[in-house]
Amino acid sequence: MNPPPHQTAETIDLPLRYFVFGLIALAIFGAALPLFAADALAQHHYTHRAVALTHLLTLGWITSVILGATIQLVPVALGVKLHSPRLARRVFWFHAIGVIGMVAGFWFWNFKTLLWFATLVSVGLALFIYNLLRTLRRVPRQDAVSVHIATSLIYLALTFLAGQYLMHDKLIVFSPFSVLSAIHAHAHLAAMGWFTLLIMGVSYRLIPMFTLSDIQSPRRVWTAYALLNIGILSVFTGILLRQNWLPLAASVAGLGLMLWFWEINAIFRKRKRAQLDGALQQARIALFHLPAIFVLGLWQSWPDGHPSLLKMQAQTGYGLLMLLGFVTFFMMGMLYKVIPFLVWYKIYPPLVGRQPVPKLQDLYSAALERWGAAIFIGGLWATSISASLAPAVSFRVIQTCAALMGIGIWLVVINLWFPMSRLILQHGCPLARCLLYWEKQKSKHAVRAPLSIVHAGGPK
Amino acid sequence: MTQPTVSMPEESPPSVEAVRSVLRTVNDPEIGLNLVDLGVVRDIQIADKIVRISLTPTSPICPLYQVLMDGIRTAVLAVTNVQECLVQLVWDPPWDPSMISEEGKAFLANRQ
Repeated sequence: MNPPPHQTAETIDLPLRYFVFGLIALAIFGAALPLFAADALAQHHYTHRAVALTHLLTLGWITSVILGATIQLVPVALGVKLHSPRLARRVFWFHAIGVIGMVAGFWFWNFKTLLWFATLVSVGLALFIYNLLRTLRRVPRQDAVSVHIATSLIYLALTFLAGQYLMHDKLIVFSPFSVLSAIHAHAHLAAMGWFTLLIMGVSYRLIPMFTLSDIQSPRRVWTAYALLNIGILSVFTGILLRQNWLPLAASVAGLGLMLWFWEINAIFRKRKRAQLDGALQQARIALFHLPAIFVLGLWQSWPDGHPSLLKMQAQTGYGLLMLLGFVTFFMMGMLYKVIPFLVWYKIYPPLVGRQPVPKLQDLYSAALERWGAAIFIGGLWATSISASLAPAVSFRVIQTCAALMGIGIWLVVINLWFPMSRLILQHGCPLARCLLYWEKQKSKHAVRAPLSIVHAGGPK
Repeated sequence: MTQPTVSMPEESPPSVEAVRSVLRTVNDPEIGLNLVDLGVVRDIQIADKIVRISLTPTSPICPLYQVLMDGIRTAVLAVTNVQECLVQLVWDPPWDPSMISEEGKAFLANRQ
């Protein structure tokens, strides 16, 4: 078996860049939702601010973190070097500038501005897909992880094509489909095809690695993959064409998700690490949102000539649970693993074997991790339920719930910032850099002239 | 790192136990358990003051294997009378959680 490629500066700095951008986007989302867009939660979700914040969340936070994590994990998890780190570096600027412009375009409902920036994002993502597919082609043995990642990239491309279609339809009306149906189809392509499939693939590698466990049933893995893909494509078509068989399509997709849920729980149950740390507990709790999302999705898919106000409003709760309860909470848990690792890898390797080095968990606050997660999940469920019950629930209550969720988000962002600030202190400050260099030189000399360590148990 | 306290005669070759003891001071930063109790140190051989260590990371995708190899070498070179330390990766058979020592299992069971 070949060893994985060694981590390089590229695979450390590049992902961090995406993570910083993603965390800033998440922090802005957490503050903006209760302050400027709580009214969007209390009414039907198709408002310019809701659309702007949804794209801030999906592109600014979720996609940025996925791009960064993919750049870092693919070489390690699949044993190949990234095709072009230089290209990945360029993609960051396309993505970052494009997302800022797109969110601003939606916020001010200016579609000409939006089109320019969306094109910038599309170019960036096209280059990213090219870079990653070239990387995946070199994988010596294709497995469930590489296949899931490659498929999710196809859905990413389809999501962007659907988005471009919607945007052009706003400028020159040509689409035969209902605008809302097309938006919902586009959203499901992103949430199920891009986010979920990628999370599934990555989870098959990360969860066994962190829990000291193994995949329990390859057949279950592939069945889940097949069902979800059939489900995504049929849900997309069913929503777009408003077909009566949409509940069947939703059931197939839901069954795929449930199989994945079953497999991950089996991996957790067979783990050798008895106590799960906070990060893994978060990832597991995120997965427990899936049954609720499945039930809500099935209800939403049910053909209904005149949907009730409750059913219309529950679409907001469904979207919040999917994007925040499942995707975001899972990603937060994994970031508690990935960010401390990257920072640790940047600072501590020269000291291993010479002096005590901190564990990854020592780089952030466990208490803040627990509080942030609890407040976030509490606030999310309160927001989802209150928004679904609007207008029976007052605007102030919904706003307060959203504010609670925002506080949870900020606690998580602050906590994840701790390890990164250590990196900035070590490498950004010239004095700290000199001290670190001096420390390294001293350690080198210590290795050349050892013979001073003495041992317990050895002969005197 | 807990510094061991007993010195060795100047010319006597290092013992396997002494090497194992110093390896107990190198921890896996993710799991928090030392490499010996984690069961990733497969074999230690000493000949002519040259220490050869076989290492099997917990996962074939372990991103830390290079750091751990360097750390092992650094720690072992600091043992009295060790002139060279060669660390070799062994992937077959793969690491299995059953290789964790009893102390390691107790540590993992109690650790939050």
